[in-house]
Amino acid sequence: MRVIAVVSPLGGVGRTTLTAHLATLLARQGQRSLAVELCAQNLLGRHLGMHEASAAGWARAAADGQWWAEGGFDNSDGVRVLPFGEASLETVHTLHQLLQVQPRWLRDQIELLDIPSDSTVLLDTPLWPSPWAQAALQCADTVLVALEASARASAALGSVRALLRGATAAPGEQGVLVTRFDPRRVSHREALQTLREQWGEHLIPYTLHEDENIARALARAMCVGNLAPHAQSAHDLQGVCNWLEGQRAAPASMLVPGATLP
Amino acid sequence: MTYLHDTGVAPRANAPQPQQDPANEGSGPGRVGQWIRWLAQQLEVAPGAPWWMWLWRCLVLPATPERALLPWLLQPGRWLLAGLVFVLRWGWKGLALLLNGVFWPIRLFLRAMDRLATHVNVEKGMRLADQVLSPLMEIPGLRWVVLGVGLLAGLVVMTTPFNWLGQTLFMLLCWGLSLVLRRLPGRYPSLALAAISLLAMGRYAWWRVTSSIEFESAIESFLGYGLLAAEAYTWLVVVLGFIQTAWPLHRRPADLQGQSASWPTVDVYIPTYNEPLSVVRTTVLASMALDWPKDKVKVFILDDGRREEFREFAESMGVGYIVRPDNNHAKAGNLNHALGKTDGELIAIFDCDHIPTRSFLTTAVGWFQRDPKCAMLQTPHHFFSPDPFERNLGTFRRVPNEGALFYGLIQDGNDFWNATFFCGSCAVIRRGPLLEVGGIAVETVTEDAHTALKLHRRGYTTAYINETQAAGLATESLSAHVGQRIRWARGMAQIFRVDNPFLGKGLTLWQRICYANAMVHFFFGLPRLVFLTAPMAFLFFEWHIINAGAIMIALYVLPYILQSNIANAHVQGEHRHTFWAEVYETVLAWYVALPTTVALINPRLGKFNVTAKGGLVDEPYFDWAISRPYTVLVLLNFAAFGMGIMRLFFWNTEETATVLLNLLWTVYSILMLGAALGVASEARQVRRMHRVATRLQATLYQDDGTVFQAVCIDFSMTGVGLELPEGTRLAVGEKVQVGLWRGHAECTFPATIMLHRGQGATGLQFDPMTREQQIDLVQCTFARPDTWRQWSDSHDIDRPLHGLQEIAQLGVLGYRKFWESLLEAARSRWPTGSQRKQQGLGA
Repeated sequence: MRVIAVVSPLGGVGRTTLTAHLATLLARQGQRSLAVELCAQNLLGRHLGMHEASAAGWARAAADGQWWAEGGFDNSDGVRVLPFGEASLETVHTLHQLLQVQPRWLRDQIELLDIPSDSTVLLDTPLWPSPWAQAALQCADTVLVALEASARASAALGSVRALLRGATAAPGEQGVLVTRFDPRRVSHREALQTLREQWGEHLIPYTLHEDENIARALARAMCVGNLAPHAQSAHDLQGVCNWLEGQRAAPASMLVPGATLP
Repeated sequence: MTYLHDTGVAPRANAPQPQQDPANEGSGPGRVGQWIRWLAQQLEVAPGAPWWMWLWRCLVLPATPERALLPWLLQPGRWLLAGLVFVLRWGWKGLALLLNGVFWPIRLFLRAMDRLATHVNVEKGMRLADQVLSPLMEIPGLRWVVLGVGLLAGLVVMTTPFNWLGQTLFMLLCWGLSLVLRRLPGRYPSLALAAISLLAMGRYAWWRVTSSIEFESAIESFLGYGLLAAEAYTWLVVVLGFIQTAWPLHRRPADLQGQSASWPTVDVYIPTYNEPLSVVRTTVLASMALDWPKDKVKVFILDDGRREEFREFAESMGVGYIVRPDNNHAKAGNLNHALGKTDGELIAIFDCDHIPTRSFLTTAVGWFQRDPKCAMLQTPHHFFSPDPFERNLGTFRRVPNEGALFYGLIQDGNDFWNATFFCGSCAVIRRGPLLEVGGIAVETVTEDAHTALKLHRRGYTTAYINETQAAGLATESLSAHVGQRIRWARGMAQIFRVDNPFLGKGLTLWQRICYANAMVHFFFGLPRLVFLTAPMAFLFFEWHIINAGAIMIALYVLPYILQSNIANAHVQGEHRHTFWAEVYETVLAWYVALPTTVALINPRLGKFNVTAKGGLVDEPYFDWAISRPYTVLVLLNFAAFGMGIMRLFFWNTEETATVLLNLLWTVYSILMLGAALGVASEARQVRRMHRVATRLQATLYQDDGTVFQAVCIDFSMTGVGLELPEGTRLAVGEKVQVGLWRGHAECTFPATIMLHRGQGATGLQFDPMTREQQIDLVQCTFARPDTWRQWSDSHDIDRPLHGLQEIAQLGVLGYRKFWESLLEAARSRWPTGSQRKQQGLGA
């Protein structure tokens, strides 16, 4: 079982989108995947087939001391989803206290899950720093840090480094992903250049383009790969998935003429 | 006022008309009139015709299109022709089938030899040879002894006379051996193959000189010795070429040493005269994008046309602009003038349409650092547009083009002997040595090769790196191509006369041989013409210019041709397909013959004509002017063929073998001339800006925010072609942005959709771009280091017999195009009757 945590110190960079899409891509390749939403926004299910925010979820169950994974569902792509669910401020508070008392709670709950041993668990986290994000970092084998291509991200170098220091994943399994990239904008291009200089080999060679197709897919409660398989964002996400599978080299089709598209 | 011709044709006799029964009409005079009218109708006599017309019409009906006499007479002719074509086509197929069957045992033999080759372990053999031979070779003087012994053995093999059985056995053994050798990898099998082919050639040469030069009359002697001289020329070229390409060096680029602050300064010269700015712009942009410290590279436009728009362009781009008050010595003078105005340690020279990749300097300068005596480094001239041969014969990117042999093999071979010469562009020269020899040479029109010769005489070395680092436009039309080759031929002949490589000091023996071969190569004009016309001596006049039985000729010539083809296909196969050299030489022979002869006699005679770049062929046409000499040769050869057929069946039935041999030779010449005619038929060029075909990752950004993945299938400075996924909805005229990659960075360019087909291929034209965007575009496309790397992957493998068949087909196609052009020219000159009539009716 492999646990992947999608974290970021910046908001609005697309953690939930990433989690949903990666889970779908992995499921399409035959790998059992489970997407867990640790973020109170409760939007993960909207990407994976639910037309409304999920009422049921793990948060209330865990706060009440019950088995946390009761509120999960499978979608038609074969992805198992465990949404946050509707939760009040008290529930959130209770969960934070739970983590304070049992720091290993998340890890234990994940291990107790009745899923095949070769499946992948993806954790959608709230803004770091936060207790749940920290908990996710401590039980993840792979960490994906999502940053957008802007000056905010280049200024966040320090906090991302601190974030990664608190992670238990090996350095080779820590990747920085640039999202919402629009090369038509000079500020984005310059920011990407800066991020490349800052992160070097840690930067995942695929950059996620800002694509209207993703918003359209969300409106239809789908993944972009189902709605528009030839969208550039679909191609980028597939590349990130390949990176997760272990292909660390730069994408061949980008640089060499004569290569065929994947 | 419209005026109608009175054609004298009444309404058609069988047109539906109310039948008037003359018997039942009125009476008296009215009745007679009706009878006359009815008679006039039947006889088709016009009203008011004279009395004799009536008599005439009793015998001869007037002419109408249906009753025309001439076409009716020609009808059987047409049937006969159709029948002949039918017979020929099926006869051809039957013949092909028969030949297939006859050659089946030979194909089996070939396959057996291939199988044998797989059992030969080359690696072990080479290692053994290295272990044993290397220490032996270290003994001084032993190399020359071995060479001497080898030459002696070769001489013995060449001069031993055989009878027909011996010669046949020799041929079969050589052939079998070379079939095995050609499948083995490595340099030594290539050397062995070349040696075998030299042996076969030597045997043929010896036999030819000793046993076939006995003539009966003066004219036969003259022609016979002429043919022998032409053949001797080819033998010389083969021997020199063998030495020149014996050991291609395959030099790798040297890494740059030291910090970038210690690297040499480079001046980039882009000389131009009358080329349009659109062509030069890309080169300048790419030169500005060269990977080199910005403070160590300066780009200069050397404008011999002194044009204002170029000056403005240079100013807007921030590059240098140098002019001079006169145009003495054309490009050489231009470069020398700029030498005085700049001060970089190295000089990179690009023709105005040769676009460098950004890794040009980082690839080239390393050797200057490593070898202090290196004065010049040359890289290949690569063309991304088809030259006249490729365009008009349709072989672009399938068959290697004419320059591929020189830049792929010959310069590499030259490099081993330190005889690489400057080719005018895509090269870097060191300033010091260049000033020492007085700048670029101005004494001849091939100033580049002459400059390199002078540098070599001073003891400097030159280098060649066989990696395409720049690409440009090929000559646009056959006349421009021929003009360029005439200049080269004239220049090389001038150098041969003025600064002969065999005379004077400073060169090693091997350098002399390499230079001599480069120059002697251009004297192919006269010998090629001799070969194209030699069989006519016998077929027209029954003169025997080779005094030997046809069987013996065949037995000696066949191994020579076979061996040399096998050796050439092995050594040169990926750079030039077999038999294509004949096509190139045939096309240029007539035009090169005179300038080289004149230049040999008096080097100062002759004009210099510049090759125009960027011209457009917008209507397909047949270049009659250029093809006049071939037309004459074709007619002569066809006449000779006809005479040959007559001789075969009627007149010379006792010399069948000789007649057949001459006929075969004539057929071969006819096919080659057909291909030459095919090249003269200029095909249409669609665009001024040549698109380069490629496959690059690209992105398409639409206005509504959607982003699609695409593949860029061709590019130019004015537009791209994209392959989009099925179902992408685009409207013509829609404004989009195209993303292309430059290394890791993605750059976007504004474009408009020009054409969009449902299957996904979309053509876009770029909107006006800023200067930075233009530089980015060049860097994403032309200046990519890997743009030209996979160019030759689309080349077919050289299969000699297949190649011969293809050339034969091209020859037949050439004749068809020639015939069609002839008919069209005739039709426009002498319009037929009906066309002229139609013109008259329009008034």
